Amino acid sequence: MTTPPRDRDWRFWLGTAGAFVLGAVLLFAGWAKALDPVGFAELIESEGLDIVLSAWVWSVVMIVAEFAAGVALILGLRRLWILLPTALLVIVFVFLNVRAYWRFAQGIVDEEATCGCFGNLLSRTPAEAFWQDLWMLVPGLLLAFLARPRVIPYERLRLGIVAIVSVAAALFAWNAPELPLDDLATRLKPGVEIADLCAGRDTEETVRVCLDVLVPQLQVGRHVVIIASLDNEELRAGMDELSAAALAGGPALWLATDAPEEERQAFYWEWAPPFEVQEVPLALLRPLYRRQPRSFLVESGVVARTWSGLPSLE
Amino acid sequence: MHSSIDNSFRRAPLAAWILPLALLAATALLAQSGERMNGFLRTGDYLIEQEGSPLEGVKVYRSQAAQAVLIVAPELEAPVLIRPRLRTVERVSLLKLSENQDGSIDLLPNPTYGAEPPFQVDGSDVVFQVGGVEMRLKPKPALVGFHQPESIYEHSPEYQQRAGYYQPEDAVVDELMAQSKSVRVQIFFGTWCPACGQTVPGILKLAEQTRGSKIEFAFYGLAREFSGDAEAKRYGIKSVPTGVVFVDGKEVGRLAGNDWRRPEKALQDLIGS
Repeated sequence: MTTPPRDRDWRFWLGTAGAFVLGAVLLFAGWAKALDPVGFAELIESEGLDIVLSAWVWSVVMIVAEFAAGVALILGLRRLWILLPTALLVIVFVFLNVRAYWRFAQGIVDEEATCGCFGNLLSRTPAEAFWQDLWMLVPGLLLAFLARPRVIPYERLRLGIVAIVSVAAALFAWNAPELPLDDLATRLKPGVEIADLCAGRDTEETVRVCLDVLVPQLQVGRHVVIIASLDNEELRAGMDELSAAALAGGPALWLATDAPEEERQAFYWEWAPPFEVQEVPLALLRPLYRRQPRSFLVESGVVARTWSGLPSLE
Repeated sequence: MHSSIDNSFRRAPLAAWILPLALLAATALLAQSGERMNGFLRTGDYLIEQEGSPLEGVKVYRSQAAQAVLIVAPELEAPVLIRPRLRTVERVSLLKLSENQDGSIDLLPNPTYGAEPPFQVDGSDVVFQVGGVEMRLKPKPALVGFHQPESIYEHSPEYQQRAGYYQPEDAVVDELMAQSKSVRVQIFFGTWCPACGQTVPGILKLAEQTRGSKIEFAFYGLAREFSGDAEAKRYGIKSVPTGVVFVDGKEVGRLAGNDWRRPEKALQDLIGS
């Protein structure tokens, strides 16, 4: 039986608890981003933060940093050289949310343009993102500095675990776009009702709108919906096959795109698709895919199946 | 038995194989060009200009099944069929047009008799020639201001087609018909807006079904850029479609967003509140 070191009083346990909570939040946030690193890279690019490195590399670096810091804090590694970079990470996230909140308040961006810290798994307004991140990150961070231990048992072993998790996170994030994780990473998965695929919220300035309102036909019968921009190469390469399938009967085919009227007209005069091309706002579509095209089968208003890429319509 | 058949097949001259195959291919080709082209529905997306002036009385139809556009106009010698995938423009015999009860048009087999030069896409216009005269298929300007349902249907026939599919809840319609308050619903919409194209037909159907009640519907079309529109400014309209609901002259609420899922229900809730 070993005696606990003298520095392990209530302040030590409070600091450990704070670090644990912060570590868990960072791990969850890192996991959410690692499922869709391309989406996170788009966010970095849209915020103009792709400085020195590409947005994609920044995306992977940030994800690895979150995993590393998260695991280190959960394992009780409250060293300054871990806490200070973690503090920097938290400051970056809070800064991003403050900026998004301010820009939204000034009417510079749409409410839904901000994915916040949790990628597409959660839909939050800038205000919610700011306040939630502030409460979840900052108190834990401050507490983690409290009564840091002088001696950490098995420190090398713990550091080894952090290193292994970091390498695994890097490998996972780098390869995630090719992994079959769409159902896990997005709001679109079998069993979801199209009436629950929504964007925005009802305020004096904005409205909440769901896919069943924009395409009410999906509520009845069988439909296959393809999400794609009209210049998507995979879509264009598959147009002949899709047209043939649409003409042969079977489920009604829809192409959901955020392309404006001019682009949709140009597309019509090039392809004359024998199916509907329906404009759906990007705010509603973006949380439904990691990369385009993505397709799904709807039966009586419920998503029955999803495909990464174009559907197989044989 | 099997071996004698096999041998006679092997001994048959090449011509005996080619001739039936060629006949089969020719029949297939004829059958293909001789198919009916069904399901031409009127679209309000376009107008036609001839030498800079819009043609009157033009009806433009589009068929997904035929992957083609049909233009019928009194000033055209014959209807015109445009097939985007083939880039062809052809004249169609009037005798080959078959109008269905729902207003859609089918083309009987072998409908075309004269080929014109291929069409060109010029920005958002489609330029083609008929008998050497240049025509322009242009996006139709939005319907602006107050309009009766009939003029909305004339401008955007798709609204009428979709209104036909929408079925308001009978019980709610009965209650709306029976209610005694003086109600006015002013709907702001844009014929350019895809969401309006899907949702406004539902309330057009409701307006039709509650005709004779104390509910008055007014439809106000907005241009794509409507920030300067006085009526939109007056009611602070930020997005379309939006329905402003007045009871006894006082605004009681708005139809927006997911209210369009069941507009009769949303209206009932607002009037009742």
